[in-house]
Amino acid sequence: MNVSRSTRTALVVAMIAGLFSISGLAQDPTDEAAAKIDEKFGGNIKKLFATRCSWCHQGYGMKQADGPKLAGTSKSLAQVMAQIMNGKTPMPGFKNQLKFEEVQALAEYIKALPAD
Amino acid sequence: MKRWTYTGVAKALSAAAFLGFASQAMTADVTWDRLMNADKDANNWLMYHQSFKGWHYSGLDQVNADNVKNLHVAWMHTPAASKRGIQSFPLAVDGVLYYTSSSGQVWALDGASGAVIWRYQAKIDTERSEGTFYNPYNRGLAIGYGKVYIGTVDGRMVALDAKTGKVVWDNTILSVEKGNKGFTGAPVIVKDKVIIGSNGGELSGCCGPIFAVNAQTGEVAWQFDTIGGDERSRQSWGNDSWKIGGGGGWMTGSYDPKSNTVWWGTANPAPDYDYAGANWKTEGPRSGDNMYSSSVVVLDADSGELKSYFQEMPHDAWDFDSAVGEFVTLDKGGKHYMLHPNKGGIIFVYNADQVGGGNQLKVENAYMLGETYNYIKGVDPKTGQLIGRRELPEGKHANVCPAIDGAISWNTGTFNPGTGLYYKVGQEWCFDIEVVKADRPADFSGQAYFGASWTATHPQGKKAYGHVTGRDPLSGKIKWRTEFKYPPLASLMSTKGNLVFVPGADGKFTALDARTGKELWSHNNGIGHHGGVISYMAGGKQYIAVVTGWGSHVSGNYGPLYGHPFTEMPTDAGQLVVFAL
Repeated sequence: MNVSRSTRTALVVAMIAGLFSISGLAQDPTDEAAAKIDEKFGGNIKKLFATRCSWCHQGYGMKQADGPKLAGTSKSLAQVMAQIMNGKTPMPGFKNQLKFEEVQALAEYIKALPAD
Repeated sequence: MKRWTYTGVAKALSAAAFLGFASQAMTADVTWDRLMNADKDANNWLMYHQSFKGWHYSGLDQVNADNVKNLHVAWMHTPAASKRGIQSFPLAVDGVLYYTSSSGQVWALDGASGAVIWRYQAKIDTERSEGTFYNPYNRGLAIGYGKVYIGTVDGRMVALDAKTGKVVWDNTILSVEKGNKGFTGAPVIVKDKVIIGSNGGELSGCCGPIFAVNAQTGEVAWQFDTIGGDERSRQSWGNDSWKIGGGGGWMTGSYDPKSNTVWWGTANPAPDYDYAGANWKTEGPRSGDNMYSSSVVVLDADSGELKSYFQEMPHDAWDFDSAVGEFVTLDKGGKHYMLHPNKGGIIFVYNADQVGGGNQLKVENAYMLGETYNYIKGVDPKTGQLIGRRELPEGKHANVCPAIDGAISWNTGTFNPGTGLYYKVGQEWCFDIEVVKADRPADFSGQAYFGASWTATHPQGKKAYGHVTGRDPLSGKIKWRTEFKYPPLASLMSTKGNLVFVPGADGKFTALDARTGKELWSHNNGIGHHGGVISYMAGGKQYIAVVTGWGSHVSGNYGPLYGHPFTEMPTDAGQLVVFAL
C-alpha cells in the first residue's frame, strides 16, 4: 500500500493517542493546564492550588464541591483575579496572603482548565 | 456639712455594688443552680448540650411514640440572609426561644407564637476575618445571669441583655497577632465564667486557645493554648512547627461537676496532610505527635490548668480531629465515664474518675462507629491506640476512607436514660487525594495551610450512605440500626416519649421509635438540616424546634456524590421550624 510519509506519521500519532486513551494514560488535563503556567511563572501552580484552594475546589478545580467547578468558568481573567483577591462570602479573599503574581498565575491556570 | 470618710465611701460603694449584684441576680433568668440542674428541667433547654450530662435528651413526653403522627408545624421564623444555612442550636428559657443565625445574628422569640421579641446583629470586622473559611458560621449561644453570650468570627465575645438584646459588653478576646482569627462555636457557662474555643485548624497560626471569660465583665480569666502552650506540646512539633500548627477547639465542650473540670475537643494540626508519610516522627512539615491537636483536654474550671488529656489521633494525618464537642457523662457500676466521639469514626470511653496530674486519660473502651474505613485497621479497645495506620505520603492515594469529612461530624448524638441507648449518626464515604509538599508559611501568619487536593468518592461497590444506630454507649453493642440514603449532618435528640428526632440532609425531618429505630413520622422542611434540635414547653404545650439550612465544606460534597436534590439546594437560606401536636 502506497502511503505518504505525512499520512504514516499521522497514523502513528493516532495509534499512540489511541493506546494512551485505551490504557487510561491520557494526560491529566490539570497537568496540561499547569504546564503552561509553570513555564510562564516559573513555579508549581498545582502545589499552590492545593495549598490554598483545594479546601473548597476539588480535583484541582475540575470538580464541583463546596466551591464551584472552576474549569470552564464564564468569568474573565480579571474577574477571577478579583475574586481570588477579594473573596465573596463564604470564599475568603487572599490579597493579604498571596503575591500579585501568584494570584495572576492561579487565575491563568483556572482559565486554562478545559471546560469538559 | 458631714464629711465623707474614705472608709464611709468605700462602705457605701461596696453596699451599692452588692445591691447591684443582688438586683441583677434577682432578675437573672438562668442562675448557676439552674444550669447545674438543667438535666432535671425538662421544660427548658438551657445550654447547647441540654445539660452538663451532654445527653441531648428531653424529659418531655407530651409528644410521644403513640401520637407523634399528629405532629405538625406550629410556627416558623425566617432570619435575614443566612449564608450556609443555620447551623446553630436554639435555647429555650421560660417560654422564650433564643437562637443565632449566620454572620452573628441573635433572635429572641416568643416560644409559643414565634413573635419576635428582639433581634441583634453583630458588626463583623470582615477585614479581620478575611482569610478564613468560617466567615458566616455561628453555631449557638449561652444564656445565664440575665445575659445572652455569643462569640464572633472576628474574635470577639458579646454579652446581650436577655430581656432587651442590648449590648452589655463587647470585648475583643482573641488576638490576631499569632494568626488565629475567631469563634464559630457556642460558648458554655461554667460557674462565673463563659468558656469558648477558637477555630484555626487549617491556618498557619497558633495557638488555638480556649478562653474562660468573666461572665459579668467580659475580661479573660484564663486561657489554655491547645498547641504550643507548654513544653510537652512544643517538644512534639519538630522545627518549632507549633508556630504554624493551627490548633483550636471550635466546638462547644462541656463541664464535669464531679471533678470541676472543663472537657474540650481540639482541632487538627496544620498543614492538613503531611507529605512525610510513615516518616512523620522525624520528618515532614510538623514531625512528632503534635500535642494537643486532635485531642481531648481536661482543664481545671477555675484556673484553666491542664488536668488530663488524651490524643485521639497522634500526628493526625487525615484531618480526623477531636473537635466534636459532645461529651456524654455516664455512671454505671460505681464508675464515672465520659464518652467522646472522634471524627475518624471512633467512640472513646474515658474513665472520668481518674483525672489529674496532667496525665493521659485512662481509656475504658474504644470502638468503631464508622463502617467504611481504611485509614486504620482498627482501634485498641484497651488503650485507644490506633492500629495499622495508613499514612498518606506525597503522591496520589485512591479510595481513602472515610473522606476528609469524617465518619462523624461535629453535630451531636443523644443518650436516652429510658432505653439506655446512645443514638449517633455515622457517615460512610471516601475520597481520592494527592498529597503535595506545601511550602512553609511565615510563623504565626494565619494563612490557609493544607497540603493536598482531593475529590469525594463513593465507597467501593456501593453509594455513600449514612446510618443512625441505637447502641449501648459503653460497649458499643448495637440494638438497632437504620440506614439513610443521604448521611444526616445535623444533631439528634431523644425524648422521654420514646422518640429519636433525625433532621435529614435532604430536608426530611424524621421521628424514629427510640426502642426499635422504626420510622414513626416525617415532615419535609424543604431544605437540608445542619444544626440543632431541641424540645421545650411554652403555655403548657410541648414544642420541637429544629433549624434548617444547607451549606458547608462537608455538605458541598452531596451534589457531586448524589446529584438531585442537592444540586438544586440553596446554600444561603434557612429557617427555624417549630412543631407541636
